[in-house]
Amino acid sequence: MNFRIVTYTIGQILKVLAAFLVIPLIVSVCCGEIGGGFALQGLLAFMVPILFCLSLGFILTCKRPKETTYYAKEGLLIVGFSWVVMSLIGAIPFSIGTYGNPNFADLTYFDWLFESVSGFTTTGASILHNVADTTISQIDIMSGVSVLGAGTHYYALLLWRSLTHWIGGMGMLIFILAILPSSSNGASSIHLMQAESTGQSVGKLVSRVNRTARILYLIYAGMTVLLFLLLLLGMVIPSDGARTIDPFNAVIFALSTAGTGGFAAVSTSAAEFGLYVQIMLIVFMFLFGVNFNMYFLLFTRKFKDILRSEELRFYFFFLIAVIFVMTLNVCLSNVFEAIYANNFGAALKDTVFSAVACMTSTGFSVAGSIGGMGDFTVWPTFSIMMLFMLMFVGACAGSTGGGFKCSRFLVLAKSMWISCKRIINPNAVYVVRLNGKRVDEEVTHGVLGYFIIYLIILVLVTLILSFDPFVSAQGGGSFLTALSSSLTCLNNIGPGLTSVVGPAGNFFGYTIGMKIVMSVEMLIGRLEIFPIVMLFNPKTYSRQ
Amino acid sequence: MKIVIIGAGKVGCAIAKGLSQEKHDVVIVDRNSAIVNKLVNELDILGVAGDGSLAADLREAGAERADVVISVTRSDQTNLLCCLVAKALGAKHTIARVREPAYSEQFEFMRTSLGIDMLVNSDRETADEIARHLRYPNAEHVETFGHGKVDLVAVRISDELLPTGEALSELVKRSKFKLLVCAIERDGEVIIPDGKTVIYPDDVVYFTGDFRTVNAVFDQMGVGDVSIGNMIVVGGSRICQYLSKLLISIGIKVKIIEEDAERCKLLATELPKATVVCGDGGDKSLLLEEGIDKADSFVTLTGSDELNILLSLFAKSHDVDKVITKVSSGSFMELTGPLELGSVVSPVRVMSDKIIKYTRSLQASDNDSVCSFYRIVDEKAEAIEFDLGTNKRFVGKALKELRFKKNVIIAAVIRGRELIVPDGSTVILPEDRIIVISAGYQFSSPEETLQ
Repeated sequence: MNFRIVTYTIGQILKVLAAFLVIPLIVSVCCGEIGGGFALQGLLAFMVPILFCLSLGFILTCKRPKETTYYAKEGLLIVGFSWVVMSLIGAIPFSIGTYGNPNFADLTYFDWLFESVSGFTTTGASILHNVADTTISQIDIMSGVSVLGAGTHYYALLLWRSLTHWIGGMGMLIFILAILPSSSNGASSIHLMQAESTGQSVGKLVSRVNRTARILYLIYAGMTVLLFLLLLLGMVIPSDGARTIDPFNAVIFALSTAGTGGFAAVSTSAAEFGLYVQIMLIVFMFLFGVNFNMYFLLFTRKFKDILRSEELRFYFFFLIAVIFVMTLNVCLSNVFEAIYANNFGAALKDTVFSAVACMTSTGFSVAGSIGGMGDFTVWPTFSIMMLFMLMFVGACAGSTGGGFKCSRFLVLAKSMWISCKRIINPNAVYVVRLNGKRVDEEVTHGVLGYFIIYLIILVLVTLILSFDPFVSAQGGGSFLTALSSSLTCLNNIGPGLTSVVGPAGNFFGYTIGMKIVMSVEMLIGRLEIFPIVMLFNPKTYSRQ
Repeated sequence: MKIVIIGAGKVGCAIAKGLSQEKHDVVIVDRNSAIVNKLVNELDILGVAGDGSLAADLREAGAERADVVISVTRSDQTNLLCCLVAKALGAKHTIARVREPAYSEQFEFMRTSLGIDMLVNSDRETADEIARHLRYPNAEHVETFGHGKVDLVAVRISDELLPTGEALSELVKRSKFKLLVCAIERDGEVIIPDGKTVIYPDDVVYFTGDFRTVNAVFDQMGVGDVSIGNMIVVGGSRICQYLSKLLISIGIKVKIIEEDAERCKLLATELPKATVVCGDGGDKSLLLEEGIDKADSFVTLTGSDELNILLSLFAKSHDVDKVITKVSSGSFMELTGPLELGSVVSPVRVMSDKIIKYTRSLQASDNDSVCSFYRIVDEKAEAIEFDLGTNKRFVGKALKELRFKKNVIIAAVIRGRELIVPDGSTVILPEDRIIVISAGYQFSSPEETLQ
């Protein structure tokens, strides 16, 4: 194990993280937030982690390691460590920034750590719990005065929260690969990319790893900017009584959608804004859940290869099919009359929004209040189970979305089908085919193994969560609360499936220990198990 | 440049590694997906698991827009077919590896009618390389530049020659010949020297001079008493066939030991002047019987690296003056240094150097031309020949006026047919060519060598 390269790369990450931390600080200064009563605190909230990152970063990178080639295990370790370090540091601004504010008095560093992990892993589950707390997410941007009075720094904190989504969506290490000159990292960096990207097989788009990373980030940043501009357009489109979008919320939504995260600047999330904004979010949530290789193929005009992608077709048609049965189910139930007042358009929009938000693991909500329009926790059980299934399958491999991934699901389903066929005709030779090509046994076995570990972690965490008094207090809903909390963390979605943790609820009620467990689970889900599991394996640190 | 390599064997891997380190876009095509995956994870390249002779697979590898397509599979016919298909798809240049001599003989036809730009015969290239070593029997390695005019000769400094360290400037002053030390290899590290650099025993020193000077220097240094009159070759491969032909023509007596009786008969027919012995080259008593202790030179060309190394060690122990070992596997080349095998020749390296040199000159042909390119000292340093033309930054200046980067040395100036071993007062004239030796850079134009 080449530990020098691990610490060296983490040093590089710290330096880049410092640069990212400067962004909300600058915005804060520009918006004139710093300058009033909280000036020093707002400055400290970001300057402390920035200085910490810079000093440690420079210490770790002052000497280049002699041996710069490394292998898959170093790649996994680098990724695992750096995500833990990033999350720990990412929580500092929240912790310092809200210190002394009576509204956040009951939140400890570990609560903010949960928030930070939730941000980087693009989960979007929050611990901000009551209306007073959510002043952080209810600053009235339009009047330019926050509920807490002028001179606060909460824009900066909200921006940082969404920025962590954007960083975590495509991945910090891929960002580093993209910005470093090609000479400074060789072919070994493919291991970093493989460890951080989602999906079972990670390929290069072009022959150089760092150019591949650059292309991915260009697509990513380009689409984020496009979404931002389209959301800005919402300022001139009438929103039927709902709030009109403003530039700040547009930035927050663009960053959170790009990473398929789910943090919004207002506690009512997308429900606060008009139909136009919601439709834009639906479209872009879907687009960010598509394998980014497809966009590369689009730019290189290989349209045939895009059509050939079984994963993309599955992703699209599966979503359509589920939306169809869910809409039907919702419209035929008593919810349709009680909540939607027989308005088909509103019901359809809410099912589409919820389905896309769950499958892409974004987890924005259109629920204005608990039990109100858009809160899927009061929908018929069948629809909730459909959402559960969408959450489980997740987005495409190679996207910013979470979940088990469509391509894995396809391989799994196909190999199961083959096992059935083999029972009928034991001598026949069957192979799993994906995109017209044969999938090696090794890959199918890998997917199968991944599936089993995945289930074990899901069940294990559900089991741990069930000890929590918060869960037991739910009475009949306690099982689904624990299970969906575990699932939503493992798949980096955000909302659970019962009202307390649902689209209008939050995760504050869990005890600190449970929050730490869920934080680890979110990291496991985002990095696809192995980088985090590596950290807990004592063999990793032995000399041999 | 965009380069497609077909065939991920030893040669294919070596070329892919060399070219990807030079920041080319390399795509490797091989039918074995496991090997392709492994290479893609090891090198900064893209891989396609497929058949390089199929248009569909070549298209997937991007051969339509490739600058160079190199086919180095095991089969000559496949290589030629791959090149034809690639050319038809739109590849700019194609290189095929062929081993069958009959194909190389009709190279002109292939170039003009089929559009294959280069044929590389690894056996012949390796034989040439070995023959070069035998021309300078006292050198560790020999490289040739300037179309055969300049030789870069490597000598291991022995204890008798130089019992204690001595500064280079002193050493040159003592010698009455004009020679230039270009590089020093010490403990596996390469040093590009200046006058103050001290040379110690056991250093390998690379210097230039023309053919006569070098041999005269050897005489003066007292290491030049070896002359090759006869040679024993173990292994009657195609390389052996080419090599024997070359050596017999300059009057060296050749004895070939080959196991396979049929092959022996064929060799005896093709090479009437050579002595062909049918027997096991790994048999000690046979080697002694055939007079290994009286041989001037001993070349091992069997298919097994291990056997070649063992036989060479055996020959060394019997005081054979010049031992040349063929080692095909590239992975453990650095181990052959401490074994003191003498000269080691790797067909893989010979091939990949040749092809890399060709692609480099293709790339450089746009701006300033790189006339030749060699990797020396275990690929740790490079020797590049530049055509200066009327380059204003060089022409009319003495070398001492030019401020070169660190670790850069001008090994030779070629003026027309004349070779000049330069010193500080050498003035560059128009149309001169210079040979630059450097470590740690990748120059593609002469200006880049200046500070």
